[in-house]
Amino acid sequence: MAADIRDQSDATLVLGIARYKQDALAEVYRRHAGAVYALARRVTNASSVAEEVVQEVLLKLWSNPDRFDPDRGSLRSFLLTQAHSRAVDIARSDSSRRRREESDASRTAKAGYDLEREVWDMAMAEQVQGAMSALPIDERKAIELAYFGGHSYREVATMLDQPEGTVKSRIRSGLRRLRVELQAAGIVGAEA
Amino acid sequence: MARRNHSEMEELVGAYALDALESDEIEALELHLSECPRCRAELRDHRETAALLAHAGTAAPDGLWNKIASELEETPPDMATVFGMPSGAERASRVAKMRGPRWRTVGMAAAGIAAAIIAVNSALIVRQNNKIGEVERNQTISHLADLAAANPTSRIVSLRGTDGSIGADAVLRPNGTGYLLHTRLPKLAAGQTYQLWALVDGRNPVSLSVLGTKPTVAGFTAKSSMNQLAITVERADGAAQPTTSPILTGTVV
Repeated sequence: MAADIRDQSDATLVLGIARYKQDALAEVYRRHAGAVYALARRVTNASSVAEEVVQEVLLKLWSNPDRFDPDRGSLRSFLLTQAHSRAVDIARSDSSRRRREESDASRTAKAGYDLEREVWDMAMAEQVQGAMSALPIDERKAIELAYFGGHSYREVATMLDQPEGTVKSRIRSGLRRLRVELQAAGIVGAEA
Repeated sequence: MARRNHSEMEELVGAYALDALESDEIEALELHLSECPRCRAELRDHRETAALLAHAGTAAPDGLWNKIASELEETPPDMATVFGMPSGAERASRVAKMRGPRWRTVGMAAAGIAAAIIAVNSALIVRQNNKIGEVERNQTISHLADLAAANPTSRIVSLRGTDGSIGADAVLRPNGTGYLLHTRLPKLAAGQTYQLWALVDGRNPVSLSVLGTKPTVAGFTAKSSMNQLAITVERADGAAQPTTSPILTGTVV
């Protein structure tokens, strides 16, 4: 029943997917596709490409649910990691494609979306933004260009006119500092 | 390939977590990760942190799910699959049409272990992972509500009953996020639910949240134009428009 599946943990849904339960995959989509899509769109700068990334990530989960190990992190993190990797591959391999951004933001639909999840995402985003703004600007810029811009740290070093080793270290120290900030705010480890 | 030492490798983990390495370093780091639990743990932390960066509060485009669903196999699984995990290859053949993207595979070394755990002892997995499911998410919303309540840029609205007593508080953030908390509402009978509404000058009610029979804390989003909140009692699935008079109301100032 729909009410039952909405109460299930992410890992239980993956178990359902392993048993070919399409409603389990649909529930994973309802919970996480928005974030996966938003990240892919931000990295590729193309809605149609972002849709393909969401499809690929979800179909990969359907084909290989055993690749998700709950001991290694949350399902959201697992899906976003794969989506980001794929989006970066596309962005780097097809730079002309990413410029083909359609102005179809209006196509975004709320149907079937998890409103509670949206609230949660917005609130989390606000907390994360606060933690990001607490980072030294060099660390913040390096992380933003690498993660959202899809650039390698060497490219980031060129863009910021800084030594490669410095940028590499700043990404790492920035991520660590961010985690500490989010831990202090009681956010890290709270991912569902 | 010449092996590099641990300190060289660990410097790469942050960039790797953001897919910001180039191919010549990826291979060396992936080899190192396969042998170094400390770096694997650091990678996991970085990836969890990066996932939080991606929180966006948006919806996937309309129709995308239908595209995905159309690519799943149509034949129901046989009973054998209920008791065992089919192999990846077996499953892949059940996807009607798969693209061939280049996927990075590092970080998945424990996949076989995970598969074995799920296949052999699904009850254990279910029990273990209920710990990180909806309960924890509700705790997180509760925590975020507390943070929002303590933030001086939030607006607090008290929702009062007809006798003037406070039945719940709402916290409104400047970005449109809101929380209902400190609820003091009696448990409803099965088949009923509390429902939260936003109104503009007492009109045009818009449903913000179907709260259930005994709400504790809930999140919602509301347009900045709304200036009143109300809670009604509705039938279990909620209503498109209020069908009863509000039991609690609050004015946004």
